[in-house]
Amino acid sequence: MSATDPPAPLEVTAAVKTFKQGSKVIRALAGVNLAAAPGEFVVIMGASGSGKSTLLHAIAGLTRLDSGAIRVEGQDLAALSDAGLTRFRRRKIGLVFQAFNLIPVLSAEDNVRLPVLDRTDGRARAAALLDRLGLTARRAHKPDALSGGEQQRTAIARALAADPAIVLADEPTGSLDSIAGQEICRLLRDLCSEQRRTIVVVTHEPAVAVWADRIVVLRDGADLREFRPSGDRDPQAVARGYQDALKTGAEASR
Amino acid sequence: MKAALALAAAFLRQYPVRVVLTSIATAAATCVVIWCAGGYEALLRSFDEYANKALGRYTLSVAPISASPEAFVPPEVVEELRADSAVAAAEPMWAQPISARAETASAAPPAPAPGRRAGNAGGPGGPPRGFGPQSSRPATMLLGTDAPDPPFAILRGRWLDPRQGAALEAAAAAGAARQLGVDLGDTVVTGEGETALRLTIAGIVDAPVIAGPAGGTAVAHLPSPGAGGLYVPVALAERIVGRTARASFVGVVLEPDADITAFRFGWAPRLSRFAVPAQFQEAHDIEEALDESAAAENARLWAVAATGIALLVAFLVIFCTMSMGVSERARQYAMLRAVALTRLQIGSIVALEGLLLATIGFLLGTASGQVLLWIAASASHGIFRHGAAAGAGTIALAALPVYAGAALASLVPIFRAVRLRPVDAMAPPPGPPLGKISLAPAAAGLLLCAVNPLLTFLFPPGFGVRVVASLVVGWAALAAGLVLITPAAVAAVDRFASPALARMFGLRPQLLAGQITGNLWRTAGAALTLTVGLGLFIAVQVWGFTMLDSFVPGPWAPDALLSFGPDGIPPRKAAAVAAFPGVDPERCLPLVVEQPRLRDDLTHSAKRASITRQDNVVIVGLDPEQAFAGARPLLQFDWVEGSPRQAADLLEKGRACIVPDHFLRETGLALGDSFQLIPPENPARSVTYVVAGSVRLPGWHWLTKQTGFRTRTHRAAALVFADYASVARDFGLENASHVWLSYASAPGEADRIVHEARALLQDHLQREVSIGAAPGGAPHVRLISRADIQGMVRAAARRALWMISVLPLIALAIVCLGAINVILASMRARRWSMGVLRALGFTRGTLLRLVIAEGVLIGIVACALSLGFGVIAGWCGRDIAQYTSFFGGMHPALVIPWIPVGLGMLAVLLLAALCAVPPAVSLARAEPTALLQPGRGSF
Repeated sequence: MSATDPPAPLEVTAAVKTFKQGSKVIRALAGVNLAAAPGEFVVIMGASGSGKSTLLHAIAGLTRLDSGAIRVEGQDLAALSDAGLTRFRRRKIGLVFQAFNLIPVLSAEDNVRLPVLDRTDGRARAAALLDRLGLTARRAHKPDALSGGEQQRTAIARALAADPAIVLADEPTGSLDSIAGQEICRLLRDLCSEQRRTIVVVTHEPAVAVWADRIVVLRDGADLREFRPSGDRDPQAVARGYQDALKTGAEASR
Repeated sequence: MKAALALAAAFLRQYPVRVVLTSIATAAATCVVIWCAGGYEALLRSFDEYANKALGRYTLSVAPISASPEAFVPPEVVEELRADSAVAAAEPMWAQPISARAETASAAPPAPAPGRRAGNAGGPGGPPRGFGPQSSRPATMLLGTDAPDPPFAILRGRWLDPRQGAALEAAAAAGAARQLGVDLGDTVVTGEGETALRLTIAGIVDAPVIAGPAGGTAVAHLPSPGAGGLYVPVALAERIVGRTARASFVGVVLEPDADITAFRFGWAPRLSRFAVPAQFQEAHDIEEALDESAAAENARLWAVAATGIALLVAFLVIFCTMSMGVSERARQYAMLRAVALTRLQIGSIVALEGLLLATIGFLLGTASGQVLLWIAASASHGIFRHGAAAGAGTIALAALPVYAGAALASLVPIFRAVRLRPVDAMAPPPGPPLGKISLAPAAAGLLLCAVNPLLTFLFPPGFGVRVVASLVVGWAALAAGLVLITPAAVAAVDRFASPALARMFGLRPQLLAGQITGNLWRTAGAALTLTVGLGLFIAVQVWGFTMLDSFVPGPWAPDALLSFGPDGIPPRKAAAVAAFPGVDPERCLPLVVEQPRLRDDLTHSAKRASITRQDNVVIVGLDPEQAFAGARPLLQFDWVEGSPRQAADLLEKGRACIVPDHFLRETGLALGDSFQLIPPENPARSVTYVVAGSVRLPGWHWLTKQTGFRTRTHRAAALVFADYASVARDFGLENASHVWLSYASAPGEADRIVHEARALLQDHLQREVSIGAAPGGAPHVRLISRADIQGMVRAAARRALWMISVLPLIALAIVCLGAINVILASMRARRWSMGVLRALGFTRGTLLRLVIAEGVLIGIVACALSLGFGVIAGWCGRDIAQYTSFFGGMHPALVIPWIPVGLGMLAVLLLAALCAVPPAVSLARAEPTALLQPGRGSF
């Protein structure tokens, strides 16, 4: 990468994060390294407690590392104050939650506009995004009038409203049925391909991971290995790759 | 900011019922302030007139002590007053009732003025009627004065020129002019026939017209410029009346830097030395004016109390609403932090919610309050006899507690909201709170509750600013302590009351157990909300009944008191009362009574007067042996210092006395000390009495007031007992004015006794004697029983306490809306678990009873907290009253009136149950799937 190249959307270097549970210290991240190229769709897989959600929270600036560094578009998140981090997150990071997390009292359009309230073109951007995601007819509806898939699409539109450098999705299909979940995955894939959008998804579902360009497997807070899924979107293959990664990691640790 | 406002408004719209209830509560609180303050504002406006009604531009007036029509102020008084450097002017006035009519009117007498009865108008040469309650009320009061300036402002025309005594001119009071139907330049005819004089109205004077019976009565009784209808120079007045003028009273203007209290106190003994003893009418005026200003003071206190209660109500109701909102929207706020908003922006959303709630309530309340005032003032003059108005000041006063309450209420919710972490948006929905109770806050709470008693009893504040500081700190600590104790109280009620209540409601104890503890903060919020009204109510009742104990005549007083008026009866004849049928012959004593001034201001009444700090005492002379030392004493004292035998022996020797315990406290005197009294009819000398004992004398104030013991002035520092001979000799009392007696048997033969007394006095005087008060100082006898006085005091106290209790009860009714809100939110949060119960087979009726039982449990918590608060506050209030209230300083024992307190608590239990009914019905009516659908913890 040359000095004139734009900074990478995401660089995680030796990320360490520990939590205290009573007297016990839990090492959620044990020196994770991760990078994502522009327009890359990265999936982080791992078992429950592997640190994948903690890693996503750290990348989103929702929690601070104990050591290591996270750079989003070249900005070291540790150098920002709480308010600065909030503003940075609003502009540069799009978040998609498992539970949608739409504000119940706002319409779909108003929910999408939340990150761009301070922009004069916020309404236009929201309308365009809702149109792109096939929600124009539902823009005035409140979340309780939308289906699960529609709610998640609205959440994705919200995540894209500020044209972020990176979109982070935590189990985006966790609350959806398989068909709706696949729709969401296809949508994310399309966004990635069409808009060169860098997307990082945390999931434990191979059916979601098949859409990725690259899969990073975490275990015990460390990145075990990476592999690329086959182009035929075969969840079984991804599952095998995941199991192989775990086995390889287990053998290496012996 | 626009976005924050939009979000805040959207969040409020999410639960419209909650906003409606909150708005109604704050609107009601605003209404209460407008009602109280509006009346006070109107009263202030009229009170400015009232302050002038008696004296006008004069600071005070001097009038004869005697109310006899023949009494006048000696000219020497005027000379001495004018010689005093503190006196700017001393202007005598001669008041005489006359007949007067407009020249165009017929010869028929004019209609009576408002508040005045038409009496026999005295014409020239006719007997003057004078003043006082027994006086007939004249058609027009002529005031002769040579004062260079009018007593009140001139509305039209000019004041009189005393050098033009020959000119037939008069100034008319505005009200009298209207009554006579005259105006500037018109002619008024006084007298009849040859003695008639035609006076031209040269000026109209702004003597205030007093609306309402109290004001009118006061004016009619007062010899003062305000009583005048027509004002003329003295020379002309003599022509009209046909007699030489004598000063009915003297209007006194003091220099601006003169201290009126010190001036009055210094002059009072001098005035009583004149041939016709005089006294400052200022005290009398102030009595009457204070009756009005007491009304103003009461109205002001009501306005202040209403403002304080509105602040509390607004704070509590909005706090509950906003706290519930933050709790319910915690994940939403976390999500907003995650995707868009800074802490400041989140905080501003919460703050704006509070502001919106306050604004809705304030606007609604102001509109409602104005309408209520208008309706009340139009419908009944009795409610707002001085009128009613909600001016800018009232509206500002109403805004203050609502917005201040909202601001205070927002602090904790803002703090909680801004502390939410963005990562909390990622967390799974929270389960029900565990409701663990820590004992540390309860311990801290108990310590805080002890602050108020410590400050009151161990570190008494004294007078001045320290009282305010003590009150603020004490009450704040008490309130904070109660808040900290609340979780422990909830746990205790859950543990001990829940099983019994479950059985009472036909529920399995396991269903009810833990419900209120499991929703700890909502339960605490609802309970504390209800505690505001009930706690204040109990505090008022405890304080009121405790204070009342000092004013109800205790068992020390004999059954009844006979008075022989106006001049008493010789003691040997008075002793005959003991032989009346129905009288216990061994417990019946004649009395001599006087009300002398203390030579030295031992109670420091000049600095601050109160019920126990006055410049005089009532002294009763009686036989000490029979009174309290014999086998069956007439007066069964509760002795504090000394003993009956010891005191009786000392009293027998002469010039010894028994005093109330509070008298020794106020004066710093002790057993064996002495003090000096000034006989009113012989003020040149003073007499010394030694303290032989002190006793508790609850109720002596009302007893002396009702029985005519207070012969000189309306207040006294103490009721003092001495031997008959000393009092009769020292104060020149030939006759016994009263006989104290006990009945031979209950319930007593009062009628028979009083008729016998009349016969006795008639036989002595050889003239007709009436029973009860007689007009014009005619002979009369009167019997008043201790039971009558007790009944009267208790009835008056009940009325007064009810009046004071109205505001707390109104607050209680208002805060019930907040409690409904909290219970509704609690049920909303538990819809899922209620759905599970229904799915498991529990009936709608079970759910209904469960929720109502929870409401009753909340009520029990509120009752426990309120009782603690009320007793501590009332108990401390009793002692603080000595620094803040005219009626403090008696130190009565604590009284907890269980009947009104119990009724209040029962009312709260019922209210709490009622508050639970709407959410109970809503839950019971819902289908199980509807309850289960939103999921265990929806966003």
